[in-house]
Formats: sequence, structure tokens, C-alpha cells
Amino acid sequence: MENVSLVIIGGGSAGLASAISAYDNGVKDILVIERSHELGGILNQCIHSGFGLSLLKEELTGPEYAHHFINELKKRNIKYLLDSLVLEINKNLEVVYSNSFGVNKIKAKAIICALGCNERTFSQIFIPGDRPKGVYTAGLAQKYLNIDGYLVGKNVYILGSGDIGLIMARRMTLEGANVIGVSEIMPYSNGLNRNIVQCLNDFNIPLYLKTTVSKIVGNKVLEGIEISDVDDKQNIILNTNRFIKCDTLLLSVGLYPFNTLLNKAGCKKNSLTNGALIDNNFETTIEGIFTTGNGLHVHDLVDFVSEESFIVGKKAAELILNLRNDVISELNVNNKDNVSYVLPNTIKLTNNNEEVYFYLRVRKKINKGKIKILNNNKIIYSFIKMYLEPSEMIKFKIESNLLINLKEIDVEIEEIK
Amino acid sequence: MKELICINCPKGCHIFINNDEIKGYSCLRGLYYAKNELTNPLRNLSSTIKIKDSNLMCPVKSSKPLPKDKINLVMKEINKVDVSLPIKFHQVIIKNVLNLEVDIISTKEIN
Repeated sequence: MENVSLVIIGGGSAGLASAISAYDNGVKDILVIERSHELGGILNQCIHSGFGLSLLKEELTGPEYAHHFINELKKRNIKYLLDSLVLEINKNLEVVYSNSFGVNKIKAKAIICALGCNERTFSQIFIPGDRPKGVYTAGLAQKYLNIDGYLVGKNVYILGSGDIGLIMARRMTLEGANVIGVSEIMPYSNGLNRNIVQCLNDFNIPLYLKTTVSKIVGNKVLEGIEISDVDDKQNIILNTNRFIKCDTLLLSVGLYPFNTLLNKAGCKKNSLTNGALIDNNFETTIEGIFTTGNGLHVHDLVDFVSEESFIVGKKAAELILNLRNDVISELNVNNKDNVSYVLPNTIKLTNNNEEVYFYLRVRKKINKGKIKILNNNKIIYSFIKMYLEPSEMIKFKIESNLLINLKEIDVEIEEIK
Repeated sequence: MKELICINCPKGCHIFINNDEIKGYSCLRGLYYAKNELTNPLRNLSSTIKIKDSNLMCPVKSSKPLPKDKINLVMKEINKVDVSLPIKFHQVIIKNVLNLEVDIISTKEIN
């Protein structure tokens, strides 16, 4: 069996950044395994601009952002396999993958899973009615259009105001489709304001807040949908349904980490994110298996994925190169009031006195919030932040000496009126 | 008083315009955006161009923002042409499209 120091599964934004960072931190023997015919992952189909502003200080399209990182990978002569699908990883850090040469098994000293995320499909949101052709997730329609050059329909309705849905509203309009409208179940849009302006308002596409698709109609192909108003608890209000004729329904109703490989390997799952439970080294409950990017938790911006994966590459390098100090204390992290999830789930402290990174999301919109880390109801660290939204990830880091000898911390957000 | 939402970055600053006074932007790009939006609104354009003898598309963009009211005409030009392999990164595919002093360039290297 072939031995490789570090195997990275996935050659998208997370995989590329973690490979580059692991290399720069001293691990030269790296293999990136990518299932597609090219590196770059989902960036390849995100042809619109808006990437890189935070990290690279210029506004790039998805393929350009990928180009930057692929170049960096190639400069370092980091090895990668394309058209290769990882079938299994296990606690012995063996990786089984399949490609046109057959099935192969390699042994690693560490594995980074950079697996990306899935789109929520219509079978997960239980829309009543028929099951005809013509209902797509927005990202799939985006792949068909931007990679394969195929417009999936002419009269389009979009459910969900997430950014992919908004971007597709503009993109399909530019290619000649008639986008009838966008329904959002919440009283506010889930997409960025800039996308409401440049994707909907610019093309006079209406956004219907507090509405949802209540029925899908069509025998073999989609003939139309019914939309209904919803109340404050997102329940459909009876007799508000109206029929809209369309041949395509796009769903932009959320993303969740792709976690099958990690689950099968026995890494404990985080039921709040659908990713894996991790410690402050981004290591799962199996030593040597790391996870990062949208396969860990869904990020707002690709820049944040890259930033996080730079850290994870370094953490994996520290394990491989035996640079880790002994753990002197270990504590659990609990999410409390107004926090929908927080990462990491456990923190292992060493004498290194390193910084600990926290990632969390607020459960509801809060105008002014105090983010607090508590131990036995005593505040150890806190700061105030304005305009907290579920769609905006909160990131911060603290000195690890604040946490030494604690068994447990709670993370909560207090709403300040 | 007119209110705009800046589209330059994910921050989406609310910009307020009152006669000659512009407020609420947090960088120079925002100020530039607000001034243009009132006189000559500009937009970046991304699309794809058919690759000759291939099933794939080449992603392209405008080399700088275009007048908003010309976007549909530029899309027509983009959909008229195809491009041969290999394609270099930032290769000019349509030079000075519709005499707007903007090029349509590739955003990906494809061999």
C-alpha cells in the first residue's frame, strides 16, 4: 500500500487552501483527490463576480478565484488526482478511491476532508403535489447553464431568496428566460442586499416575502405551481393559494455539509450543522481526520472558507510533523441562548498558548448583541456586535490562557434592547 | 433624499443622497458607485461563450463595468461568438464590444 503524509479529499476552495497551507507549514508529501475533471470545485460554475474581496483584496469571479489557488498549488508541485472518487476512509487513516485505473488504497498520516456541501432538495422540504420534471435545485440549474450551456427552462419561478437563487434569477434572465418571481417564507430576504439590487431590482423581478410554494402541478412536466401566504410561524394560510404558470421551479432553500465519508468512518456527527464534531484543531473525533470548508459548516463567503482552511492545513501539518505539545486540559463548548451552533465543540489546550478560533451563528435577527463566553455563569470573554443575522457567521479568536483548567464553557448571545 | 444599496461588496452599505451630499458609504468604491448610479449606472457582466468542438462553455466577463442599459445588447454579442481551444486566462474574446471601450475576456484557462 502506498504511503502519503497528507491526503486531502476535495480540490475545491477548502481543499486547495488547506493543501497550500500544509505545504507551507512543512508537509511536502501531499495528495489532493478530486472527483471532478478539474480542480476548483463549485467555484467553476459561479461565474459571477464578488469573490476575493476580503482575502485577496480584489473582486474576482469564481473561476478567477479558483485560478489563483490552482496556480499556488501548481507552483508548489503539490500532487493531485482528478476524476477520482474517494469511496471510504477509516480510523487507520486509509483512503480507498476509485478512478479509471481501478480501485486503490493509500495510507496517510493525516486526512483533511474538504468535501463541500449539498443543496437541500424538494424531497427535504415536503412540497405537496405532483413530481414532474422541471423542478431543480438552483445550483444544479447553474451547473447545467454555466458549465454545460443548457438553459433548463423558459418560465421560471424561484423558491427561496438565498444568494444562489438570486444569482440564478439574473443569469437565466440574461440568457432569455422569463423569471416570474421569487418566494421567501421569511419576512426578510436570506440573500445579500447587493444581490437583491443587482439580480432582482435591476430586472424588475418581484420578491414575495412571507410566501411559499404550496403545491407543484404537472403530469409529466411541470405545468405550474401554487403559492400561498404564510403566517408568523411559517405555516401556510389557507385559501391564499394562487396558481402561477411556469415550466421550471428552482429551489434555493439551503445547503448542508456533505458528511457521508466522515459518518461512515465513525467520526461523530454534529446534529446542529450536519458536519462532524470537531476540536480546536479542526480534528474530528478520530485522531488524524480533519474537516474544513462547507463540508464542516456552510460559510457565507468563499474567502472565509479559504481562511479557515489555511488554519486547518497548518493544524494537520503540526500533527504530521510531531509539533504538537501534550494536552494539558480539555473542555467542552456548549451553545446556549440565541446561538444556533458554535464550533469547535471541544477545546484541547497545550502549553503553546495558542489562539482558539470560534465560529458561530445567531438563531434570529438581533440589532445589538453581546457575545459571551461563560464558565459557571461567569463571563470570561465578551464583546458587543451590531446587526447580527442568521445568514452572517460570527468569527472571533481568544487567547487560550483564558480557558486553562476549565471543564466547560457556554457560548451565548444576549440581546441588548 | 434618495437611498441606494451599494453593490460593490457583501457589506451592502446604505448610501443616502441629498442634493450634492452623499453619505453612508464606507469606501471610495461606494462613493464612485453612488455618483454613477445617478448619472450612468454601471454593472459587471459575467456570462459564458461556447467553445468550438466541445461540450463545455468558457466563462467570460466584462473587463470593466458596462452601462446598465447596454447589458442586454452585449449579451446578444456574447451569444453570437464561439472560441477555440486553448483558451488563456484573461484572453480577450470580444475586443471593444459595441464600441463601449470594454472587452469581453475569459476568466479561466482551458486547454
